[in-house]
Formats: sequence, C-alpha cells, structure tokens
Amino acid sequence: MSQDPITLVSKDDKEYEISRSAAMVSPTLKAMIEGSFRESKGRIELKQFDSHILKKVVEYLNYNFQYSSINEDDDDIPEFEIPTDMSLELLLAADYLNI
Amino acid sequence: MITNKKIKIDVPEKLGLSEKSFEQSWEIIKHAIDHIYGDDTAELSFEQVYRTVYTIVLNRKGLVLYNKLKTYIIQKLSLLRETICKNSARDYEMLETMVRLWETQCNCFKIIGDLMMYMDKVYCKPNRCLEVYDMCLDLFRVEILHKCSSFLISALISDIEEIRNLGSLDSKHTNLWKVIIGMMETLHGNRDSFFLTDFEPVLISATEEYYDKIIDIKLLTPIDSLEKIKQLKQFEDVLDSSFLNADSHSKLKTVLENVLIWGKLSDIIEDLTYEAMELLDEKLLQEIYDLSSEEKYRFAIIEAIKSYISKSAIKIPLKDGSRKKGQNAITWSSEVVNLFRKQHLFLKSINFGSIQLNNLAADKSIAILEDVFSMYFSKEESLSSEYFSTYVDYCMKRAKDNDVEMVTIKQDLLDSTRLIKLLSKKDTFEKTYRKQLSRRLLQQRSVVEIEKWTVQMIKKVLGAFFTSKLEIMLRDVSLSSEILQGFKDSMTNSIEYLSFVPQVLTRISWPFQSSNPIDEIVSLPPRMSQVLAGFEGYYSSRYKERVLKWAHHLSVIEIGCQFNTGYYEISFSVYAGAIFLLFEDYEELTLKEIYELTHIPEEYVKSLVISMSTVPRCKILKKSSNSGSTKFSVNYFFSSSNRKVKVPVIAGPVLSHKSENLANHNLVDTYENEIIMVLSATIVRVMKTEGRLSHQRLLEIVTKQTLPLFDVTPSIFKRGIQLLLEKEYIQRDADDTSYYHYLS
Repeated sequence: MSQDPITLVSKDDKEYEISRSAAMVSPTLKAMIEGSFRESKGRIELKQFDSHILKKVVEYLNYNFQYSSINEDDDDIPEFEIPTDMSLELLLAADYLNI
Repeated sequence: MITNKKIKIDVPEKLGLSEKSFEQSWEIIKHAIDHIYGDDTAELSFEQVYRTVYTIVLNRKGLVLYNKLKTYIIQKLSLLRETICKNSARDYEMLETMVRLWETQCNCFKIIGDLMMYMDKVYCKPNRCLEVYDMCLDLFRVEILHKCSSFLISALISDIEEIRNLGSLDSKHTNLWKVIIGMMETLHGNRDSFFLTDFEPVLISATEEYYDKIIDIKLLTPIDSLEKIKQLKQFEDVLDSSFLNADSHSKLKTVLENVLIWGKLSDIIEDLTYEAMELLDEKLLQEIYDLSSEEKYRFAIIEAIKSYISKSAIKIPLKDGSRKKGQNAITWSSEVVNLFRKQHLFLKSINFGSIQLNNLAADKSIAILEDVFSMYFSKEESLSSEYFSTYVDYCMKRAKDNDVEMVTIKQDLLDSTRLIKLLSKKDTFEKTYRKQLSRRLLQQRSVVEIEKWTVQMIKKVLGAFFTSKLEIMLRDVSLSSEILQGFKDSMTNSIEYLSFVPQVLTRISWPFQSSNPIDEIVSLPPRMSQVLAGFEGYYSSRYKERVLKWAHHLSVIEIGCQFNTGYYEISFSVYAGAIFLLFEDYEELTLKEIYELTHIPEEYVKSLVISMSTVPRCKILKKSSNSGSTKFSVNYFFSSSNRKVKVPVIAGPVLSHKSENLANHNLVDTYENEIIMVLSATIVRVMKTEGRLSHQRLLEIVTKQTLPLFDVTPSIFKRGIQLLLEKEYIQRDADDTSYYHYLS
C-alpha cells in the first residue's frame, strides 16, 4: 500500500489533500482506501459535500489524528471550533463518514 | 444558552437524499456484489455504493435492503454449494475446495460488510439484528456448513486417520485442518460453535474407535506394548497440538488415556510393573508411572508395586520350628531387611508426583514400603516380632569395637528399626527384646554404646513409652559399673584373684521372675560369700533404703583351672561353679555330700553334675561308681580345642518339668498383668482429664491411646476397670451405670 496522501474531492471539484493515516480516522474512508475499489487509488469523490464543509472535515480529521494518541486529560489539546452556522451540515458529514 | 441572539444555521440543500427509486439503487448494489464475487472491483466506486446504501437507509428502507441482501447471498451460496457437494473428489481435495471457498467467501463478506457499514450502524444495531458481515457468516453456516456437514466431517476424519496411519506429520494437511477447524469455531448457532456441537464429539468418538482398533495388546509382550502405546500417544499428541486448540487437545488426551491406557494397558499394567521391578529399572517404572496422571491409574501401579514386593517378601522362607530357631530368625530377618533396603533404594529414585496415599509419610517410597511390610508382618504376627528381636540380638553380638563392621551393623540396625515400627505385635517384640537385651547385658555380650544407640532409634520410631523399661535396663548397667568402681575403691584389702562384677538391677524393669528360692539357702564358697557380703555392706551404706537381693541364677562365674593338658577358663552358672569349687577341698564327693555342702536341692545338683560330667565339650568331672555309691571327682585329663569353655546349663529334669508348665502359665499371667497395669494407668490418665465418661467412650479413647502397644480386648478392659473400681480410683455413676466418675 502506498503512503501517498489521499485526495478528497468536493461538490465544486475542489480538491483537498489529507495524509493517509489521518483519513483512516473515518471508518468509511478507511474501508474505501483499504478495499480494492476505484477509491483505493487515492482519489475519493465526496460530491455531496460543499467545499467549505469538506475543508472543515479535513481539518477535523487532522485534528483528531494529531491528538488521538495524546492522553485525554492533557490540557494541551485545544478546542476544535465549529462555526454554528455549519453545524447541521457538518453533522451530516460526520454521520456519513462515521466519525 | 443565550437565546435572544438569533443564530442562523445553514440547512443543507438536499440532505443527501437522491431521487433514485429503490429498484434502481438495488441494481447498483447487486451489480457491486456481482463484481465482488467476481473479484473485479477495481473500476467500482465504493463511494457510490456506500452512498446508495446510505440513501436507502436514510429513506427508511433498511429492512427491505437487509432482506433483499440476505436472499441474494443465499442465492449466491447455494450456487457455490453445488460445486462442493457435487464434487466427489478425494477427501483431501474436498477439504481443499472447502478451505478455498471459505477464504474467498470471508473476503467477500468483509467487503460487503464494509459497503453496508452505514446500514450496520443505523439499521442493524438499533433493530438488534446481525451486522451484515455476521449475517453473511450465519448464512454460510446454514447454507454451506450445515448442508455439507456430513461430507465435510467424514472427509476431515478420514483425512486425519490417513495421516495417523502414515505416522508422520504433514503440515499441508494439518494447516488445512486448522483452517477448517478455525471456520467451525467461528461459525456458531445459538450457543456453541459448530466445532463444539457437531465436530468435536465426532472427532472424539472416531479417535477412540481408531485407537481401540489399532493395537491388540494380546499379540505383543508387555514391554513392546508399552513402547507401541507410548509411540502412538506421543504422535497423537504432536498431531493434535498441530491443529486443535488447547481445550480439545486436552479432551482428546483424556480419551487417549482412556483408550490406550485404561482400555489396553491396564490389562498388562501389573505385568509391566513387575517387569520393571524385576529388572530394577527405575527409568522404565517411572515411564510407566508417568504415562497417565490419572489417579486411578497411578493407584493401580502403586498397588502392583506393593503386590510385587509382598510377593517377594512371601518368597522369603519363614521357618517356624523349635530347631535352629535362631538361625531361621537371622536368615529371615536379614533377608527381609535386605529386601526392604533394596526396594527402598529403588523406589527412592521414582518420582511419584503428588498422589494422596493412605499412609501420610512424606516419602512416598517409604509410605509404600511401610504399607507392604506392615501387611506382611501382620500375616506372620508374633513370629516376625520374635525373629526381629533375635536378629537385633545377633547384630548386637556381632558388634565389636571394630569401626568398619560397626558402620554396616549400625545400618542393619537402623533398617531393622524401620521395620520394627511396622510389626503388628510390637508387644511381643518388646518382650522378646527385653529378654534378649537382659541376657546380652548380663553376659556382656554386646557393646553398651550400641545398645543405647539402638534403643534411641527404637524410641524414635515407637515412642518413649515403649522403650522406658529398656532405658532403665541400660541405665542400671551403667550405674552398676559406677557402683562397682566405688566399691572397689572402698575396699582396702582388695581381693586380687577374684574379679567380681555386680549388676544392680531395678526389679520391675527386667523380665525376670522374682528371685529363685535357692538363692536364699545356697551356701557359696567362703571366698565368694566374703566378697558378696562386702558389697552388700557397701551398697546398703550408700543406698540405705534399698534392698539388695542376689540373683545367682542370672550370674555367671568364670574359673581358671590348670588341667593336665593345659590351662582352661571355664564359665559356669553360679551353682555349678560353687559345686566345682568344692573340689578344691575334696577329692571325691557324692551327690548327697554336694547337697549338704551347698544346700542346692539334690535334684538340681544332679543335673548340674551330669552336665559337667557327661557333655563331651566340658567333661571336667568324672564319675566313678564304687560299691554302689556314685562319686565324682575332677577329670584332670579334660582337654578342649578352645581355651574358654562354657558349661551349658541344663535345667534339672524334675525341677524343670514342674517349673516349665508353671513358667508358661506364669508368663501368660505376667504378660496380662503388665497389660492391665498399663491399661489402668491409661484409664486413670484419661479419667483424670475427662472427669466423667461412658464405658463405650472410655473404651474407645483407651484403645486409641494404647494401640501402638497392644490390642485392648473387652475382657482385659473389664478387668482393668474392675481393679480401679476396687481401688476406688473411679466410681460408677449412681444413675447410669454405664458412666464412670473419676475420684480424686
């Protein structure tokens, strides 16, 4: 399996790069990457999400990946900020990606 | 939350819901599954399928999709099933196909499961139905495993048996079995895995049957069978560990033990053990013993060991007869000791593991031997006790202050004491031992140090109570020599030519009857009586309150005498010596004259004189018949090959006849009296602590306490009680006569 970063594609064809390991935080993405489907080549189209949502998703995946290994009691973990107006859409994306 | 500030939330335009109909969506999924089964997913978009499932589930069509999927998988599986069941190939190939199918199916199920991840989360969990992957596995179980189970199981078993027949491991086969068993363990119905419910019982019974048939013990010698069984067991062990989990492995092990060891080996276990014992092959015995950890099995072996030893013990000839009794006793005992020693040495090297025997000795080999020998002795009863005492006597007499021999004799004695512990009639042993010990001590036939040591050893195994009298006897002897020293020192005019060794004995501790009546009246030659009187004086001045009585009949006198042929030292009983000394002053004497001079009863004089004048070895007197009266004189032509001559004590015919019956009767009597004395002492001890006891309970306690010494018979017990009632140590309860009170 290659260690190339994964490209996530949004509705308006904007591309976001994310490291393979960070993408694996989402079981859905993990299944896509590890399977033998078209997505395993490293390009995953998530056409139902707007680019700003996807951007936030990528941000979260990185955030989660970065801090998941750290003890939760640690004070150093910064709050992950979610703009209120995006909350519903992000909720849907999270449900979809199982994160 | 602050509510007066309005927050705007963007509403997604279309909540991911597509307008596609369910049918269209299903087509997409079906298409995907087909591709998965065809192992051709490279062009397929996971995202598309995932989104389809997502949409369907969001549209609350989860149940429909779930069922649809189920039917479709069933369809797929039944198609595949045909390929297996139709296939009438050899067992191994059948297994191979099965494994391939299982592995590919698992893979497919996994992918389908991934695609349906959203459904698992949103539909399956809340509705409590199997997740897609598990549902597929379950379908596999129902559709493939159950429907092909008979084929599969028989194929697997016959393949296993084939390998067993070959007798060599084949990792290709075992790996295959491992996968199949792994599959069986994964798939489970309501409770237990298919492996547990369907396969394991079959495997176990098949194994049992297989090994039951494979070896016929009757055609092989015991040793060969053992080898064969060991080999089979080892192979099966390795084989099982290569493809079974630990649980089933141990189950099969038990089965194997049952079949091979119980079913087959138990018939010959006795022969085998005997063989090992015969060859003194500890390795073999250990091997046999370790074959199974089953307690039943180990007991069987231990029983066999016991029976072997007791058989060899019985083989030792135990002759009972008055003739050569001493010799018989010595040969028998030394052989018994040797057997014990040999088997102990042998069994010591065997590790018996942790097995609970009746006998609680820490050393299992000792425990076994003790069991065997105590059983053996109990068969022989008092004879063995008597013989053992005689054996110790023999060892004692052999022991001189010679270091080399001393070590072996000590070892002999040590081993003897171990066996003495097991004697069933210890009281007989004690009685005989005391008699022989007294003889040894008085005649100075043994080394006192060793006597003391041996008594200590006996004390260790039998307890202080048993040896108290023996210890007093030994103490008397030591004390006597001290007194003698004191006496000698006190004597101003020492009598050089007469060496005098008194033994002051505590009467109750020595196994003698009260003193011989002759001792009161006998008159000894003046030189002797002079010494005795001197000693009496010395003793009573030292111990005023004690009474000293001479027991001449126990003593020995030694006289040096110059005959024509040479100088001899002759040892006599005191009476005979006194008679012989008369001839210092008289040339010739008749029996009557001797009687008058010595006051020894005439009949007894006669027998003493006869023993001195007729026994060839010590014919120191000669008889001459002159004008009707028989006269005796010293036989100056006496000659002997040894310088030391012993005059045997022949009990006078008349006196002995009378006294023998009397003595026999007396012996039983004294023995019983002794028992009653000990018994009443025990009763008093018990009553003193308990205060009030019922007859039955008292009998139980007393029996238990005196068990190492003798068996309490009810009649003796009653006599003991009677005695104590008379002496008012105890009293019957006024209300309930079966109770006794202690009277302080």
